Amino acid sequence: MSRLSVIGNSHVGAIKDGWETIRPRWPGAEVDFFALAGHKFDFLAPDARRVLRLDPVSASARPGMVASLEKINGRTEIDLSGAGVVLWVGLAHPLAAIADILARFDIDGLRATGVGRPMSPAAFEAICDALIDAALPGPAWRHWGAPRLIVLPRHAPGATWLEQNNAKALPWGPLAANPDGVAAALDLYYRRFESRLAAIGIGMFRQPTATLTPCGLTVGHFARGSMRLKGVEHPETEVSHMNAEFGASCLDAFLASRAAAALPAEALA
Amino acid sequence: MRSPYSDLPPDAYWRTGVAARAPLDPGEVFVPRFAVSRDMNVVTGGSCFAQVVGRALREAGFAVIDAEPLSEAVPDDVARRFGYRIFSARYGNIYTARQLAQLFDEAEGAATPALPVWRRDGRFFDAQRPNVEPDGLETEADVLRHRTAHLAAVRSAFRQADLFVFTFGLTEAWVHAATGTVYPTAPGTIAGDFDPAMFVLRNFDAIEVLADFERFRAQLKAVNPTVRFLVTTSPVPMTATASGAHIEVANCYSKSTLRAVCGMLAARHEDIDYFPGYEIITSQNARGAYYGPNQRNISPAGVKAAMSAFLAAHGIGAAAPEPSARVKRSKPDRARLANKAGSRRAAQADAEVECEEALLEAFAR
Repeated sequence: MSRLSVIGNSHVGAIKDGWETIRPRWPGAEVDFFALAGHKFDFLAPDARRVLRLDPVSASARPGMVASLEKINGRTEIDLSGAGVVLWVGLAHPLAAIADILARFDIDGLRATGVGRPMSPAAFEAICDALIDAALPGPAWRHWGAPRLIVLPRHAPGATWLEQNNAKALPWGPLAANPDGVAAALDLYYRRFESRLAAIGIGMFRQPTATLTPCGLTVGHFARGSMRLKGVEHPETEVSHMNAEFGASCLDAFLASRAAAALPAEALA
Repeated sequence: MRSPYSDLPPDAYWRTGVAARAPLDPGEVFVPRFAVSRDMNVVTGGSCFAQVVGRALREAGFAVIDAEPLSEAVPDDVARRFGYRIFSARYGNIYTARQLAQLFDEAEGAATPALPVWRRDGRFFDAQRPNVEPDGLETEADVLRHRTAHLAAVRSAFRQADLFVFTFGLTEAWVHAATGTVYPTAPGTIAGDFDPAMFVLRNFDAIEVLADFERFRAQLKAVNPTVRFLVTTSPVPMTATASGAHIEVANCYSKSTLRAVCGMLAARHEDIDYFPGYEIITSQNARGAYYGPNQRNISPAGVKAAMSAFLAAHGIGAAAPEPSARVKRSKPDRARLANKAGSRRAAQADAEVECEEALLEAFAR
């Protein structure tokens, strides 16, 4: 039976925790998980047979990563060739840079706040494309055909960020204060992201709209009680990682979407 | 028998000052009139070569003002395609002193250029900087709104400058006959339509260029009394001339005029210094090595020679004391990772100069 393989960095944790809560609703679905925290996941690469693992050189140079893989997953590699769909969770992308631009500029036809610095849609789109291109997965991930590879880009940070004295959250302040046009601008950004992924044979599934605030951050309560991959709860101030409720929302929406169409019908029953 | 030429230093004689110099040794051609330092707020403007000057100053750690900044995350090639990070504001190339004076007047609300919006294929372009939006904008109102914001940035940059670096590029310009409004490009080159009854060619002479820059200087000092100026003449030859003369003859007139004006300005005003980058690049000592295959573009070695001479004369190292935020953006380790496509665009952009004048070559084919 074809399965859904969920892979990625620490953000897989929310999806995995969420799956446990919605599993009864998807009795035919077979889902497995494989993750490695942070940028360490970037050292994993699928080989030609779609086996995802550390390449031998990296494995010998980084025994700690091998140990982490074993500890988190109970194995050091995953064979993705038998999956119907591979969902790659948490791909980093330049959302913060886009937020910074939206905070500083008004985009013609998209957002008009009177900030006094207009930007043409052509410039905004070119900037989106350039930033996205630098974030696209490398050649080993492109044009798989089968299994179908779909990216769930890293979600937006939690809106509770705005209550914290964190310099990285600064661009979001003006967007929260005046969210007019933010959704439209971010929609344009994600559509271009999806288009550029499609051009290299990768699908995209977006964070459900219901989990977002008007300024594009994730609704705050989804960030409360999130767990690390190794089973420890994140601190209360955590805004990057989401909880099981968020993971359930994403996975429910994914399984109900056309994106999961490569899975057999009984899996989606 | 005594002669005023008998006891001069070696660099006063061609034989010892040039002929005996090792090839590509720029010599000590520049003795600064006043010191410049990295803590000065620098505004840059001028022709294509001014882009190179501005970039070299930024890389050397000078506080080059960017009044229309873009997020550091945006690659240079994209930023520059839309006129960001080229000069201290998105004014594009300012080829003539008349255009510079006109821009200042407009930014200060003292003048309104005629025919500010040009069209091409149903899109609208800022006639004073048609290259900053390569595809134009959707409406005329958009162009005017963008220009209002741009002029505020220009005003801010010019008023806070400690050092205004300007590279004179051309003497030829296209002018709106009825009003005298000058444009950076000929109508019909990037946008607009050329109507010979409406637009005329002006080939400014030295007296006019001098007057235009002195007017600009006086008006800028009225709002920014402590500003000083560093002027240069672009060593990049003209791409085309509409004067009727052979391009080499026209180019020699233009560069001679501009070089003469630089000398006159430095002689007349204590707050103006002249940097002889033109002499370094065009020197017989360089044997043409500082030009690219088209005999027009300045080679990286030429840029390095000129800017090294400038920095050395000011006792400043070529490298910034600390990497700028823009340099820090580079993440080579990330690019090596299996999941990342990586990007080398920023490095490519370093070698490029945005030059409307070069478009004229396309029209010559």
